[in-house]
Amino acid sequence: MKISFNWLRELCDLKPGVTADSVAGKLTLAGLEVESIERRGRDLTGVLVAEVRAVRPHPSAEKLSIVRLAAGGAEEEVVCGAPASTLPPAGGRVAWAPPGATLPGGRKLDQREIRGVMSPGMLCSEVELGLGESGDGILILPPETPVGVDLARQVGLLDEVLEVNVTPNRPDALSHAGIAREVAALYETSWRLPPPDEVLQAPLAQGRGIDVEIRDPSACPRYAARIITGLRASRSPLALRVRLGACGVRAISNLVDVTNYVMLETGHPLHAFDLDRLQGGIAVRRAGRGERMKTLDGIDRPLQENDIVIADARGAIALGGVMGGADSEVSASTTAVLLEAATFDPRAVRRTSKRLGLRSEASHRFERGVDAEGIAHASRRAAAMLARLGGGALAGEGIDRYPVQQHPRRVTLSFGGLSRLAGFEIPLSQAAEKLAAIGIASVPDGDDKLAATVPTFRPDVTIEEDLVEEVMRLVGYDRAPARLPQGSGAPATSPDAPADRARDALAALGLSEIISWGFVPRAWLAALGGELESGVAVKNPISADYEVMRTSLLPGLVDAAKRNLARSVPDIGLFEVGPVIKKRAADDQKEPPTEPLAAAALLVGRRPGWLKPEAACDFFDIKRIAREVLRALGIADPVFTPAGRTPSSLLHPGAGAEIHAGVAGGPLVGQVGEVHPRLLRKLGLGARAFYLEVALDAVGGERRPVRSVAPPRFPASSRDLSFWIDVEVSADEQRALMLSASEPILRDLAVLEDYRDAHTVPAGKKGMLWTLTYRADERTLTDAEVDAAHARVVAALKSAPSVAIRQ
Amino acid sequence: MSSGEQAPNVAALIGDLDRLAGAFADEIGALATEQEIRLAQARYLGKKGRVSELMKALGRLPPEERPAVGEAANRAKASIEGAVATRLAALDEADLAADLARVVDVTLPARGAALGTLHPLTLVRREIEGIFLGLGFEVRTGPWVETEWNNFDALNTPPDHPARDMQDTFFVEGGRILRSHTSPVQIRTMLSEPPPIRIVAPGNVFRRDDDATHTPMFPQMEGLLVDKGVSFADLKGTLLYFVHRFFGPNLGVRLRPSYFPFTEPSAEVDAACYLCAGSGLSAGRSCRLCKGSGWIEIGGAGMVHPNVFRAVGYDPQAVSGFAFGMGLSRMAMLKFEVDDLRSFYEHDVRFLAQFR
Repeated sequence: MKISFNWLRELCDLKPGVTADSVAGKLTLAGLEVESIERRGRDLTGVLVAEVRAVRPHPSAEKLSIVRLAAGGAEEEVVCGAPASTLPPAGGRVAWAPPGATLPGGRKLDQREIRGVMSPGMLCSEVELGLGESGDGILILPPETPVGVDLARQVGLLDEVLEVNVTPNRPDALSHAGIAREVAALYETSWRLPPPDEVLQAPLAQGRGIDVEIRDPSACPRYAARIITGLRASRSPLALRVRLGACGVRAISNLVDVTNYVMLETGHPLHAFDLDRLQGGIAVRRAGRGERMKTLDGIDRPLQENDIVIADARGAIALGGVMGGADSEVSASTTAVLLEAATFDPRAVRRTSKRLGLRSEASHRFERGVDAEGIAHASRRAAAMLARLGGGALAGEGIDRYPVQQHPRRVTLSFGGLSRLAGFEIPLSQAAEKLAAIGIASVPDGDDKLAATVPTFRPDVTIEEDLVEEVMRLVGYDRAPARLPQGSGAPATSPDAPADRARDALAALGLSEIISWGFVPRAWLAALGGELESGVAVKNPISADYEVMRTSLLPGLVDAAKRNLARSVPDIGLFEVGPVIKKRAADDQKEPPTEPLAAAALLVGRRPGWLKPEAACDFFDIKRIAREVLRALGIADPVFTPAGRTPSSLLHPGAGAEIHAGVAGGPLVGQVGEVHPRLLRKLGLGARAFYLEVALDAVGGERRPVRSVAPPRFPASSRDLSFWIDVEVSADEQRALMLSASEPILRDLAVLEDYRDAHTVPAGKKGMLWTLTYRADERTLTDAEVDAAHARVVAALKSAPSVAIRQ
Repeated sequence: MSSGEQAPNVAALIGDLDRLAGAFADEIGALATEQEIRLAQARYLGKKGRVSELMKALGRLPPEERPAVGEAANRAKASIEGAVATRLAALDEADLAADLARVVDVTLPARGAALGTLHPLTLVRREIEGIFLGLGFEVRTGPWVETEWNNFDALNTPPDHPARDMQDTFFVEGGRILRSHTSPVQIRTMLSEPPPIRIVAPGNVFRRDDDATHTPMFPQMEGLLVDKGVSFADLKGTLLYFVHRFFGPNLGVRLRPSYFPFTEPSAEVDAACYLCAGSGLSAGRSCRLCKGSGWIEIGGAGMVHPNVFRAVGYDPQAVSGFAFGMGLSRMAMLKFEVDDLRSFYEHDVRFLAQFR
């Protein structure tokens, strides 16, 4: 809401020294935040109101004239670009920019010779003064305008406009009067609502009376109509147009401007119908099925049954509270209007305006609640102003239908309730004073209570807590002391703990955390395929980038890698931890989707090297990350099973693994491997990438306690073992073969080599080198014992037909 | 006469022993490894070494002559061992000197992977969680996909309430929404357990805003304390404690009246600007952080509205409480002097690498 400080000063008795900044500060601390102050008219200086003394044609230019004028000092002769016939006669008032004056846009006036005549400055048009959009001649001011005064000050151009952020609970503050009430309370001064003008009252001509019927009082608790006749549409007076402009409202014609002006003054939206375009009586009702209406903007709109319409004998002529109709609009030829002042059901207005995308100053106020009790004043004020500015008269007494009487609300404020909520004591007498200042009267109710009467313009104040807030904001929130709450909670494990443990491990492993959007383009999920393709769709996405909730963290990481590659960062290690959203099966949509937490990592490019570039990342780099993250999550010995057996759409069939906790066939806790090259093509990443995904919910939340074991006291012996074996036999299978010997002193088996050089290794085979460690807990082993045990292990290995031991 | 019977010449024997030491010293002077030296030592002092050879004659000496010869043998042995030790020490010195002659360019880069980084939004979340954990708050989370009831109705924001415009909401299939604030976690917590409650609820929320200063997803931190006799002063004290811990000691907190449907009274929370210490001036000019106001807006707060308590089955006569909420992106921007909100979501590792 834009509040003109000039206007505010008219309504509210502020001492001359009170500045717009100080008012803004006080309003902000009272809950009406002033977001900015626009200082208007600062670029227009030195322009004076001048009286025309004489006009004559320019001696050497037909289209120019010479105006003799005075602005409090000596007479001057100014060359004017308008023909003499368009200028006011002697005694008229014009805007004179003498040498030294500045105009909007930075133009500075001086003394110039124009076609042989010296001209001190110029006479200004509205466009040159920054007042209007069309430049039809120079500005002519009303003859009663004082001569010699500063124009900007005189017409209210010099103003400060406060942009007040009015919260949705305060419809009373959506007007200059409402803000004046607050400011008066804050400065402990008085304010007033301007009374209606004294204007001509005419009897209603025969046949011009119009009846109003409210068919649905829940849609419209009050509807007042007045008829003003004998009008002539014209431009509004300059000061009024300047004031509307300051408040961000475009001036149109006096008949429309008045409704806007009174709305800005009182907070009551008003609508003027062209009386001659109405037929029969007016009915306020809900729209009928299939009803349509052409709104002011010329669009023919289908209506719905909850919409509130104002209708005449032919049908809907306005959407109540939202917008007028094109067929009953006032125009330049309008001579009589029906002025509507009403209130409508806030929720219906909100639904209609939202559905049609028609948000107006009127709908903004109606959806927050317009005070039915203020209707009579607003209607009378606007009607009188219309009559005055349009040269017409009020015809008849007007109609006021008010089927649902609104009453002030009784709310009790207790001293105990006030002190308990505030945390400090405010005497009830002070509370009563503060409430009275904003129009809430109260009387003591016993020793420790106030019975308050909340006027209808404060629909937000309904319970004691609301009164507490009113009192507290007026005494100042800064009065409240600060103390720490008594008692203490019992900190429990954070539900994010496994996620944070995963984050710490991944960061320690050299990866950078990213945070990507929870919603992704549909194409990303389509690329993933399988069950990941179907995500929870956003029904009103902002753009195609945010269409559907992510079902996997992979596409977001790939996208992040692409962006970094595009910035010439070739070696990338990223991770993300967060929920993925899993849609329920079609027959189970009543349940919310599940949101399992996942941790995912992506490697692209080379492993961190030194001086000369080192090798490209491969499966074993991402496996290291998998191992360490799982260790941090309490899974010491995860089992990696080739994904080739249970193909995942995400991973390369030959270079991917499922991760199980504990033993093979144990709970699936994740997957790891090279990203499927076809998926990378679909996602547009032109480099190999390696991916890890851990299902944090499957890992479990509790950190497992560490049970320590003393280090071995006796030495170990090791034996190396080298053999050829079929390439299909995995290291885990080889390990299982050797462990099948069940040698109790065999304590560790480690792979040293897996080589597949075609020149040295027989076809279909690979060369393996293991080192086996033997140790007993209670004594030092003899060489003979170790040799014997090792021989049994080798024998067990050789039970596999494809093994050939090498010496 | 057989030579076996002949007693050795003692003087010659002692002379031989004494000469051995000198011969050994000459021999190892040319040797350059410990192994060669030890072999040479064995040739002299071993079981079949030269000292032992000479000492075989000892048994044939008259007992009264033996001590002099034994003494000579010990002398030779000590001399040889001394020469070995000296020689080995010299060699070790030479090795050490050679080792010490190595020079590494210590300005070459380190080997191996650098530490990775946590996201700045994670860092501020954890810092703020830590502050409130210290006050006895627990951390709670809730789902992204929410019911309108949890997100609005239970928070005293019925359908068609204009306050719903304060948060332009995303709707998803299945009649649900993406939560537009973390406040539904309040509702979920109060529905599942009785008072007293002390929680903070971090998490991402979603609103239909996408411009330079708004992202459609952003992280919030919600706080809720419900107990007997909780007042506005407790709220103010808690926020003041937070500001002191997060922004710095001695900074003030300002609560400004405002409106949220789920609190009454409601407040916007400002912290004194840490850059200009609340003066509005830094280096003699209008402070760039608070734009000269001396205050920075950090969130919203208020006393829990009785209708919220009613919605979750708490008795508003029996308990009271406060709630607060703040945007973590704003906290991170203030904390790390990040100018562009978008940098949190552009995944630029050159940006992210700063947060070690």
